[in-house]
Amino acid sequence: MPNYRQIGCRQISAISMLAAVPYLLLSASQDVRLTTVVNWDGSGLRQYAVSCLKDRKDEVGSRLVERSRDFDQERWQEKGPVLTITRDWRPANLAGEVPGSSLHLSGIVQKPLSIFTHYRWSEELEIYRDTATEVETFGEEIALLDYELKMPGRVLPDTVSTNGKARGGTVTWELSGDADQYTLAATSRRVRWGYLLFLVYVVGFIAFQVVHYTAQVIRNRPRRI
Amino acid sequence: MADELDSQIGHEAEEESDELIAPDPLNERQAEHPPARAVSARRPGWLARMGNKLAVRISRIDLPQWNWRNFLYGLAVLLVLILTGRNWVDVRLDLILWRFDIPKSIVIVACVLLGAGLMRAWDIYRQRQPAETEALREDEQPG
Repeated sequence: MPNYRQIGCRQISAISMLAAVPYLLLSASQDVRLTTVVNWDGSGLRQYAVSCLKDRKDEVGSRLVERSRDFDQERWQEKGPVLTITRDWRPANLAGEVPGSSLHLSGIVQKPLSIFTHYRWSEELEIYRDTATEVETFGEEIALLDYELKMPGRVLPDTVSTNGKARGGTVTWELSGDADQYTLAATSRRVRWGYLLFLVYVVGFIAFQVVHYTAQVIRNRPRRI
Repeated sequence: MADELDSQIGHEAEEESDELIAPDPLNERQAEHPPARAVSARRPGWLARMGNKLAVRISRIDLPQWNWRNFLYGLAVLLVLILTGRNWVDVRLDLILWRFDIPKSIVIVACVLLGAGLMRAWDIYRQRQPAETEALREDEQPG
């Protein structure tokens, strides 16, 4: 009997206490890419894109579906002998629904005087062996997973966890199957354009009114003859 | 010949200057202090002529005053723009067999328009109904 925990209305098995990727999915595929898009409001996108040879589509397909049961959109694309399966999902509360992840943001309430909003995404990702035999785990260092994280605004390179490459608002990690667990984290910051525009407009109007009033007072002042 | 050309150029320049300095009857200050009517002997190039025409057109634009009322209108427009920009985040819509991603702002605007359209349709329906029932009553009345 599997151990379950309840998150909202969805059940997630105990193995998913962390976001987990099966090692056999990596070894059976040519290319596995996991993309996480974090939006400024905490919603986001989680997407698997797996490329494999057509004759392995059943094995890869079943392993992918096993790890992405909640993903509600699926696309298949064939290019020559290679098949690419894409499955994605748009949770309204990304950190609450992706196991082992957290999103901290310092918004206008936490830092009202800052012109930036900071976002910190952190995720524990597990690559689990499951039923993989010794022969299958032999080339585990070349079984790779490309993890792509897209954050709102610009990622601060100093805050990216080990081996991550930051470019603009995107961080990429190349993870291999020889480690069981990875901690992926990055912080980004985004200019509060709306907040700034609002301030400029209101302060501009106040300044205009002050100048206008002062000019009027000076103009109406009686002059000595 | 040279005199003719000079007078022609002078005449054209005067015409242009007339166009440039055409006094606006509403502008009292301009009426009090009419601009100088001296015209350069050099004929302005096409770029300068275009620039002058543009300047005249721009000077005729009557910009709204930045008073409290207009400030509040501007603030409302700015807030709508800011909220639209902040909600430009994709959401997934599931319409029975059709599933697609669309920005949240568009969904909000579409819902508001749908609601407004339904209210308007209900109003039109309510306005028509009494007239029809009255006409029926008149038909039913003897004589």
